[in-house]
Amino acid sequence: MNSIYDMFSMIILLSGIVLIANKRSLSYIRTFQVQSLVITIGALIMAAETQHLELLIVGCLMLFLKVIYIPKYLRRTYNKVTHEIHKDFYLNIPILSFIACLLVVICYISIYQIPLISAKGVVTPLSCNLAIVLIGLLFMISRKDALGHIIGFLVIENGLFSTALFTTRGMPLIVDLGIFIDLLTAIIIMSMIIFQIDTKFQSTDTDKLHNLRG
Amino acid sequence: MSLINLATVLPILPLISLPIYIATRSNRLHHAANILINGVVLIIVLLLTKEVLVRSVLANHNLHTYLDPLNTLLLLITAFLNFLISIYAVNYLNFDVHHGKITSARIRIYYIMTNIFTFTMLLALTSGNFGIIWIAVEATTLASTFLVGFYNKHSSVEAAWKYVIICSVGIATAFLGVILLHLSSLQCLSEDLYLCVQALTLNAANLDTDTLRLAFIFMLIGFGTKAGLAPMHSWLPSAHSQSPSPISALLSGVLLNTALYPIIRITGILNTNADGSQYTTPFLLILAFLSILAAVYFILSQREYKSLLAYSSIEHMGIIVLALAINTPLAVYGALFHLLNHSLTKTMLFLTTGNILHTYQSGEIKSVKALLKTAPFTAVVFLLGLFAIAGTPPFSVFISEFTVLTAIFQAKSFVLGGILAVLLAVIFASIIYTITPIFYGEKDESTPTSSFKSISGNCVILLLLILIAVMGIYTPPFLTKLLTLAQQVILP
Repeated sequence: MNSIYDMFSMIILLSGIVLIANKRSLSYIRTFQVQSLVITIGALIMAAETQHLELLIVGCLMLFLKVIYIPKYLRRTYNKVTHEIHKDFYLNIPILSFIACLLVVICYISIYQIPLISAKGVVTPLSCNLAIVLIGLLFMISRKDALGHIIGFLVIENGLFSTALFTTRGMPLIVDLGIFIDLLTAIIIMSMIIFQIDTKFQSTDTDKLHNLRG
Repeated sequence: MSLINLATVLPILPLISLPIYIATRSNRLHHAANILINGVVLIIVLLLTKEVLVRSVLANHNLHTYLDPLNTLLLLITAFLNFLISIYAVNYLNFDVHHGKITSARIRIYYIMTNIFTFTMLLALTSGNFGIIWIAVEATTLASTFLVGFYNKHSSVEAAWKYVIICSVGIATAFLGVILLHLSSLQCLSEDLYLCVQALTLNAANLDTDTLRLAFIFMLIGFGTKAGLAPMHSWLPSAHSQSPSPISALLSGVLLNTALYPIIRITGILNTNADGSQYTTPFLLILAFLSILAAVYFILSQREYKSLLAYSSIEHMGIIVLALAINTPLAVYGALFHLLNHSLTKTMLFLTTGNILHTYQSGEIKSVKALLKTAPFTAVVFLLGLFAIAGTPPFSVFISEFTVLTAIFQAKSFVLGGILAVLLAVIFASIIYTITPIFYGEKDESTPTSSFKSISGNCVILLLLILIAVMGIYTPPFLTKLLTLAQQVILP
């Protein structure tokens, strides 16, 4: 059964690279939604295979929160704020995609060298998902739009979640639940601050936030 | 009800007072409720401390509650400072309302958010499960974001955004560490003990070393971001300088400890696991020195007194981590003692900046002049506090810095000790050089004629000042015992 989860990890990784290549805010949100859907399906398949009720609950929560609610909420946020960012990237897309591929290679090499992880046969899921976390970080630092930062954060969370799911067969339920509550609050708080930034600075361009340097 | 159950309900106590803030409109009632609830928390923590000193471990695995001397020490600091800060906040907030900086409805928001914030910190410190500790530390960021942006100015919104984004991402990295920690323990723990702090500490020798090392690195970077270690510190000075003074005191004196707590735990576990190997040392050393160097560089260029204190917090976190890196019993004892002293001193200083801010209505060093003449009490305690934080005898920060230095020299790291001593001296000089202009000068038309007066607030500041002065000469036996027991948890 491991090969199925390896495949899921790779699809998630692929969606990360697609994300890096996305240009518009609405397509970031779409890619994030697809990525979450893939993780949800993985979680549900795992729930069916291991007969764990916990995984089923987590899968359903994932479906409700990350596939339906959060993308909807983000689109609403997007529609409410003004958009005046002319150049959204610090680096161009081919270079970013190349860096993303490099990150994947680095993750694979470093994870491969740990004996316990090779012995458990979780090299592929762990390195793919670790790479997703790093790609999320890269995404955050390459975009100037505050909404892009939120998506980057969500992708990092996705990476963490799929790491937990595909390498350790999920964390204890209480931990998973706590993560969802935290995640939801984080997104709501970040969106509220985006509104505040938008009203105060007339834009969500984070380059304008430079009063507090040094 | 047995005491361990009391520890389980302890974090929930601040939440009990939420209906009062939501349902009633009287600010006086809100102030009273907040002080009362923090007082109750302090009394319970004192009872728990007494019990931990006798039995050394209180645990309930079903409810994921676990108290040992290490987190009891942090819990004691948290509860004590929370109580004092809640007293100080009364007049501070009333002044803000009186001068139209905030509406009286904002006080309710303030209290709702601080009580949730307290809940998350108490949860992180009483929990016996690494997963829950992670959730609680992440929740501290979320609960305090609006407190950082409380004044709703351009700069405070910016600080809040920086704070929530950088800390959330940092903490997310730490979660990867938690997953790897879980992975390293899969072969030696049964399912009901997954991520259990006590079980991991007891079974430290059986965990998989390579995975644990990776877990340590991720947790160090992740929680280190939240603890303000350089180079992940950039959120800290803005958040600490833009928030209201009682919140700055909470962030600096209490929250940084909560963020360091999981780092201290995982360092202890990894050091036990590798059986005396020095794997953790280089990582901790690098972050520690970067933090101290960042403080040296930035303190000199500061234009705001609150950011200056924030950089000094980064420096002190660096010293604590440096002492952990040395990893001898004396060094670890010094680290914990320093953590305690830094919290008390920094809280006192940030509360004093509240007085200055309310007197001069400006956070900039150059706008504050002739403080000794305008507000003599504030000026004197602020000056003494600055000397204390810079490490002057007879204050307690000096004693703990001296302990750390002694430990470094005893470990035969003469170069390291020498560099640290020089850097501490430079920081001392830069703090004094940068901030002395505010005390002197003549009064002119720009200096305010009256100063912010708050008897209860001044009593709190004075109490803290007396405490740090007394602890420089005499440490109460129960504290010495608690510190020694906590040191033995990290380094048996």
